[in-house]
Amino acid sequence: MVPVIEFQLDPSSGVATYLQLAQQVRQALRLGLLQVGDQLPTAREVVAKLAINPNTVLKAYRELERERLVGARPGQGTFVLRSLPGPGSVAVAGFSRELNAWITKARAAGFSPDDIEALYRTAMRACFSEGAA
Amino acid sequence: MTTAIETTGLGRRYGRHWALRECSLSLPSGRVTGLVGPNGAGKTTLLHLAVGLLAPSTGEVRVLGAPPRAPETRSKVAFVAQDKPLYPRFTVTDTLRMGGWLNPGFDQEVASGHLARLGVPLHERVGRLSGGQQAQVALALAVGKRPQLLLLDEPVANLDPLARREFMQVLMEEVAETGMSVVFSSHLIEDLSRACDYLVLMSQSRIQLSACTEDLLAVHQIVTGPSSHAETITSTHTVVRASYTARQANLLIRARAPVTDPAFTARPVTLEELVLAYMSQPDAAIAPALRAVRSATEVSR
Amino acid sequence: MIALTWRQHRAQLLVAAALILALSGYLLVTRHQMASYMTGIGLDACLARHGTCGVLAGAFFSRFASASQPFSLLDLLPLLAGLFWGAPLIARETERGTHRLAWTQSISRGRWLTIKLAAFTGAAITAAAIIALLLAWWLHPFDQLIAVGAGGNVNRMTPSVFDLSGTVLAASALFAFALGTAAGALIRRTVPAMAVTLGAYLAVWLPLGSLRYHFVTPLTAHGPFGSAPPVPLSAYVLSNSYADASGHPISFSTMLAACQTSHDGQTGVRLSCLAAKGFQFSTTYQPDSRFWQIQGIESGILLVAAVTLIGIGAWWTIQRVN
Repeated sequence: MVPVIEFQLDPSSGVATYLQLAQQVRQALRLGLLQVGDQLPTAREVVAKLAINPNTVLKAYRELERERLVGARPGQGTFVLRSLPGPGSVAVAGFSRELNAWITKARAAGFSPDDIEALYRTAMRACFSEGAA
Repeated sequence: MTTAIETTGLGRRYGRHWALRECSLSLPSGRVTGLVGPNGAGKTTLLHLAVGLLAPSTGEVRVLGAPPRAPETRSKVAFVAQDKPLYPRFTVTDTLRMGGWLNPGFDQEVASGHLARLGVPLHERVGRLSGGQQAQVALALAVGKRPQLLLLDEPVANLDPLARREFMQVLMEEVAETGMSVVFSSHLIEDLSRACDYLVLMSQSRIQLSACTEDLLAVHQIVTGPSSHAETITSTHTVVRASYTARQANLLIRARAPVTDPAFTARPVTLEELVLAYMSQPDAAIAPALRAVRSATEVSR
Repeated sequence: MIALTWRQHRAQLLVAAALILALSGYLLVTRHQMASYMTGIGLDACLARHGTCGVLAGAFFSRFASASQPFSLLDLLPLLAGLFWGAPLIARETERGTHRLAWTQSISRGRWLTIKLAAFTGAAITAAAIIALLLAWWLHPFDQLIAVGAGGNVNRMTPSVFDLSGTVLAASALFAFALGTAAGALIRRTVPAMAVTLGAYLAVWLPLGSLRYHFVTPLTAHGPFGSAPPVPLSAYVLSNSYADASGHPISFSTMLAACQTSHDGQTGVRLSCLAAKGFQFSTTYQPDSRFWQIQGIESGILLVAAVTLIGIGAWWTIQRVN
């Protein structure tokens, strides 16, 4: 069975691997690349491509299971249970607006694109990495 | 069996020189364990003791609950030695058949499957293959045995990046498929952080630390702040590595509690930074208490 | 494991087989030549008539004496088992690091070694048996001629042929193989192990060649002065010397002193005096009838040494080597 999505890894992003995988599944759901009933790639398939520890994949899938996005069928694999609001939805539009407003404010305050990027990365790391509140 | 390798006060010496000493480890099974350390730290000695190529000078080693050279252990443990020894005049097919001759239950299909997929010519003499292909043959030979534990000594050290990636892909795929435990030594930190969920750091023939990568990353942080206030950090937490400029202190700490000093910013540490810090401070060792820390989200297969 | 042993060592075994084939070919061809020559000059018929056949025998010897010369080279044939089978057995593995592959498989180190040892031991015994039997058959015409007193000195009691006959050839091969195996196991490098094997084998083989004739006390025959003592045909003569009338050995100078006379200012010895005083020729020899007895003793010594050496090599390999 050819997997529906293929994971990528950014080793320098500072974001834990399992979080990157989970995030890519959520992204695929939002964009409609993954639909309810689709099977996620097996740990074996992911690992054969990315050469990462299989436990990492299982951890990512368990995270998604906790969010009720996917569910494991014993002996068969992990399947998508529900989708996420896509780019066209109201929730995303709201976030988009807020982000644009903030960037405009930061630019007006004299921050360069690099400064803004640094702020963004620090915040991302702080929010998404292990062990942080 | 929940312990892949258990050592108690294990030591090995040659004349007056101790290649390994006071090694007490309990490596859990079902994990991919990375064995890191500079050359001469004792990694190869530890692996050779675990597979029965060396006898201990002191202490004891048990693998999957039994001595390394016991018959039940030999059939469940596979080993790929440094430089991946093979018989150069054997063809790839001969080599895999040898796996069958020396190991009952050897799975030819699994062994040759990966090789066929990677395009390794089965009728070529092993001595004429590239380094990466030889590494794959050595891996196929080990994996075809269907081991519960696979030990590898610097398996990707002399391989080009593509061959390295292919080797780790096959290795991880087999781990996913069979749930076997893996212990491999390396000094390439990048491969370790991708593949390992357990880490053993060795230095000067001793164990410097031995813990889950998850626990390690949870407990260590890098804090940055004014040098003048560094005391508040250094007095409360264990500092693994510190670097100071006139104004700024950059500390890699093992936190006993969350860092609350507002003058300092904390960020999580990467496995690379952690390993490098410990390697640069050979006298720093992890307290035994860390091994008892089990994250609530511990993985079990 | 048997399949692996064949696959790993087939080149060594096939080379040995080729050598034996070549040697057998040589023996077969020359033996055939000897047989047709004997028939051709009528030596066959003469022997059947129980004649002395002296002249015909002489013709035969001048034609075929050189045929037995290669055997002095063959004396060291057993050493090849030590150099090319024994020395590399363990040493090649440890030299190249393949022992780290071979000794971490499901098969035990002991079983791995036992099967390899059994294979080479079997091959050595088989090869030795073939050569010894062929050689004994090849020597038959020479034996016939010696038996009728027609002369010739190539028989199974002579050192170089004794080495290649009976059970000593197999025992020597096993001894050399054991020596090589132990050297390889302890030294762990092939070429130095081969050198040690060569040295040690020669150190044993060189003295053994003459020592063997004293495993059983040699016999002595006396004969009156002027005629040869009655030594049986096919015996191996160890020495010729002199004895007095009661059979005690004496030196040449003692004997001369007893009969020295001065005559016209010249000193000399009168042969009639020597004969009158009862001095005798004395020959020390080992008869052909003791062939198997001496073979047995020498084979026993070599086998005990071989077993000890293999034991040492095996113990060292299984217990100690990394």
